[in-house]
Amino acid sequence: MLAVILPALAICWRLWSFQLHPAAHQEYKVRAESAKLRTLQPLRGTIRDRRGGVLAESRSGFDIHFVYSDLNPRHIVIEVVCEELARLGDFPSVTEMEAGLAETVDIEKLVSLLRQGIPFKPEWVPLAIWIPPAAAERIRLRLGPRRYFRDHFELRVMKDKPLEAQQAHFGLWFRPVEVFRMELTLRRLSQSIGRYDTEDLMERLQLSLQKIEAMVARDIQSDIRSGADALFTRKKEKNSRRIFYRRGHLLAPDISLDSVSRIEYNPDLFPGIRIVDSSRRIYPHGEVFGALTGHLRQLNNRDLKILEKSGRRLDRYPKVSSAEAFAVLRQGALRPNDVVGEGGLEEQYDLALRGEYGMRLQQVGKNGRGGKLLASLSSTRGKDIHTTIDSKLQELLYRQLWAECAHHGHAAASAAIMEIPSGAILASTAYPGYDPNRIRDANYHKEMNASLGSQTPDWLLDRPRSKALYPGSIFKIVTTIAALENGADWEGAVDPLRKYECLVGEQKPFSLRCASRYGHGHLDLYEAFEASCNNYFYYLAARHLDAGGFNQWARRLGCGDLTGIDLPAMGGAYDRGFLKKPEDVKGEKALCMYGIGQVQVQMTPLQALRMVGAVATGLKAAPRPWLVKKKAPDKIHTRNSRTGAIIQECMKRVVSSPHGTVHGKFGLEDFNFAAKTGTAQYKSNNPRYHSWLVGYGPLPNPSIAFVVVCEKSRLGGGDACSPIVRELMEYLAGTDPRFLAGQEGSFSSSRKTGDDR
Amino acid sequence: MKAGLFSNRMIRWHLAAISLGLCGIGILFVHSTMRLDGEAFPGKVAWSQIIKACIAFGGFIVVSRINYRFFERKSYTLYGLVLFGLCVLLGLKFLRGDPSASRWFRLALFDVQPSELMKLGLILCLARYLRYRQDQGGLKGLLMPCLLTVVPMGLVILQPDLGTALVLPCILLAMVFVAGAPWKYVIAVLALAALSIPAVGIFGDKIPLLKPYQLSRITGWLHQDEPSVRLREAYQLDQSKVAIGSGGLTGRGYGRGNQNVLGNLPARHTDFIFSVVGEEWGFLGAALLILLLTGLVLLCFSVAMGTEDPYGKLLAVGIGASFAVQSYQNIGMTLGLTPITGLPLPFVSYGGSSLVSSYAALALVARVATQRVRVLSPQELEPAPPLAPVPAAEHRRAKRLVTLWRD
Repeated sequence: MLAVILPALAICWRLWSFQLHPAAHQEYKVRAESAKLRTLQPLRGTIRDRRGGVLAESRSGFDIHFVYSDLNPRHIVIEVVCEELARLGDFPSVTEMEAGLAETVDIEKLVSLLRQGIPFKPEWVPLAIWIPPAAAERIRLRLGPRRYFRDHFELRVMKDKPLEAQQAHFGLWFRPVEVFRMELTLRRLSQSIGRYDTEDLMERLQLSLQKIEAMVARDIQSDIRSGADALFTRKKEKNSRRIFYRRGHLLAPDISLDSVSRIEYNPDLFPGIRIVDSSRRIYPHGEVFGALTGHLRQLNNRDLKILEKSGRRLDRYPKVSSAEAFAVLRQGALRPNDVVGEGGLEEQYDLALRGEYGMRLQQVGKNGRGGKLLASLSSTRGKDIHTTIDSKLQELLYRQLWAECAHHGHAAASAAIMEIPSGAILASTAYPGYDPNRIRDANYHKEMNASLGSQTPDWLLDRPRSKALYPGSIFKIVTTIAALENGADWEGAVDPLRKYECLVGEQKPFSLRCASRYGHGHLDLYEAFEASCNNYFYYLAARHLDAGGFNQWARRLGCGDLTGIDLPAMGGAYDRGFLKKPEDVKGEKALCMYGIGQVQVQMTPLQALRMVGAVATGLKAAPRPWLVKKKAPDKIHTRNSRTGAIIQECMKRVVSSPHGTVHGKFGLEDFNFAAKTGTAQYKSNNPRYHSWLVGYGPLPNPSIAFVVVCEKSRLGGGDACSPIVRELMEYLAGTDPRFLAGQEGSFSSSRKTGDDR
Repeated sequence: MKAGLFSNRMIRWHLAAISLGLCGIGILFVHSTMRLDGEAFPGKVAWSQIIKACIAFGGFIVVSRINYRFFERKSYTLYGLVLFGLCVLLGLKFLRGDPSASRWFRLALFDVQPSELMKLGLILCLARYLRYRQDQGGLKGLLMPCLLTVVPMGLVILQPDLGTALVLPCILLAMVFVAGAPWKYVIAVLALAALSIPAVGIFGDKIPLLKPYQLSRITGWLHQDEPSVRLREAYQLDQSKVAIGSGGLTGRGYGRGNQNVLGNLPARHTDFIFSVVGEEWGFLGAALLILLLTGLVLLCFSVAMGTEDPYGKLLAVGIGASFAVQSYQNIGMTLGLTPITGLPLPFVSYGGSSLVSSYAALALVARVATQRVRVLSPQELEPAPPLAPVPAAEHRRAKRLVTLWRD
């Protein structure tokens, strides 16, 4: 007996601790009552340029939702009729009956008559005939209470049959005008919206219905698994479907205010249609800022698992009973239907831009409705992000890049501008870019892939940050600095005035040739740099440098390392470029290639910009590029105090000297800046190159550094990039006259000839 | 035996009254959990349960009129038939290649659940086997009863139906204890069972017979108070506790329980019907239900104590133990005292098979109570001394008494 009474007492004790203990009872009561927690979605923050102009913002919009049970009430009738007829043998299914409906009535004729205000004849059309009286009675019992059935359907005795048949069978008749409510509504809707035609809307509706079926199947899955009987499962399935059919589902997103007005002015013409407020992310500049701003994407299963593990999945929260508890839980929390940033600033600053959810905790009445507000917390709008970008400069650069690629057939082109000495990025753009407004449209991807083809398959890449290319002759900046700094003291380093000879044809002992057709003759460092003589730099690399020295200075100037810009890193060689390890650079030939920026090294445009920025500061610091949060530059120490001045002089002569590779190109010598061109072979025996032009200005106190690169171009660095730099200089000169040549005193020294050296 | 209200004759009426009371509560709450909006009592589902209850009670009346000796003679046959049914069910499941639960034979008019019948079959078989044996004191004597239990237990686990499978060893334990097994064996088995639950929680994923959802139920029960577990593995249990806890002393009112009406509580018409009673009728309603169920079990055990026939005693003990385990396991799981196993509450939960087998079992107990079987003691078997001649009047009086006694 004890074995029976003791468990009963234990259960009673447990019941007491739940139901009669005041604290526990109160807690369970609150949890039972606060069943409805509604979350309030926050508005995403805006991304702005340096003047406050909008680069990305969320705007409120309108979506069209449909409630299927109001839009198409005939589905219930068809389902019941088919069910009752199916009990008696081989009768049509719901799909067949729907198809039969469409064949029975000419919808086009119906629409046109309605438009003209002419009544459709016949007013009643048969749907099903030869319905046995028992089935007809059951149909009447089940559907009779529904007003829709009573008003628009009729069970009639079949009068044209013999008496015995009359007593035996019925026909089900319907009124087309009301029964085809869904088709008529969708037609009117497509005319009101304009963007979608009727077939599109019907297709969207069918897709939504398929999603509803999937949700119903998920609902009953657990019951099937736990072995519930078929009757229960069928009932639950019907109940679940009925609930979903009474809810709103998305039909058409982002419709205009005009369309909304038309729909709301005549709501009777659009039964089952609801207008719902929604917000959209707009990128006003489109592809100009595509990769820089990034775009938004839906959360995927991996994201949801991570959120769940870290307890930040909002729909899986335990029940909260106060605003304070929710305030703690909502930090960084997301719902499964939310969007997050992907690529660019949207991803980097997603947490700040996202904002925080609010909530309303409402007491629930008997049918899940009504109830008093127990607690509320308003949502926190996302923070606005202010960047250092100059939109006008960015736009200008993009248009120029686009024009040059279209005119000269470059595969792609990138450009970036940095403020000196802070490192703030004023512009960073590339062609081809992508339009973040359309990035989620599959047709857009098909269009882009079709138009760009195999030429530029990586059009989604943020090229200034992530596209690593052979630098070519711009790497001679590193070679020069390394050679000047080599050795324990000045005697070991290269003498900038020492001359080497550049002959036409293959030059022994390196078995390499210069790009010059006639040979440059005897050159010192300044002349070799301004003319970009390969032979001279072969000597420098092979005679004055080793791989370790190259590597050391290349790293100091930003090669082979992340630039540190506040954008999400892509990983691998994408953002770091490539720098061969010293131990892997074997032999003189390899060193020579290193010296002219081929084979051993790859740089991204931003890395090149950093390198030039370091030169612009006189080799005192290598600025770190940034867009939102300022970064401190890396200090550089040179053994030789004149190294900075020498390399600056070299770069100045590229523009000012008549032998400079930039001089005479599109009148760039009219502007006051220093530069270096580069023409990198990226494939042997290929007539196309990566053409670079890097520089800074105005002299002698530069305020900006720039980089322009044209990929797979038929032209060299000076010819391919000069038009773009010309436009840039004209724009900059418009804001700062120092960019014009002759506006500063020290510039005249660059015009001295060799006699003065 | 006591006379009057608590006599053996009256016990069957007590049993019938308690079972009808439980059934009535069950029908009321099945209606509360399964009715559509605005549907009056009794709704469609409640009608279905009423019909099943009527059929089951009819079966109770019929079976209680049959001499239980008939079942005693057919015990092994019935056991074998039900075992065969289990094998056929499993065979069909593997032939179809269907991994989902397969617990019913779906016949034209009704469904039959062999595992429910197996409980009764096992009780009959064990009672027949153990009735006259004296060797339960040693392990050897317990081998056959264990085998008779383990085989159907394995078949039921493979369905899978862990809840019913766990009732069978409890029946075995109670019956062998009453048959004379020593205390130490019983305590050893209970201790092993208590240790096995946390062991399953730790090493459960290595046990091939356990399905993932069964394992998650055990881990959910073991960590039921952790916030993340409450949202996932222990969600059903958590909702059950909220339902019961919010009931208070008198409950929220019939048909007004939030957890019930809003559908927050899964399986509330079957496994978690006690939670709905606790929510809508409060502590008083829940205590009434526990009282009725405990009373039923105690009555079964008192019938066992009151009969001298070993078969009848074992039968009543087995059936009482089966009711006790099912009831306490079901109520315990709604309160978080035991892991969730999917055992229905006898007479109360929605479902026909459980109702029919419960009433059939109860009918056997009622028959044991009313059918007096006199077991002769050894002294009575010794030859009696010669009697003095009895006068005729005395002889006639004695004859009348014997006639009365035979009735």
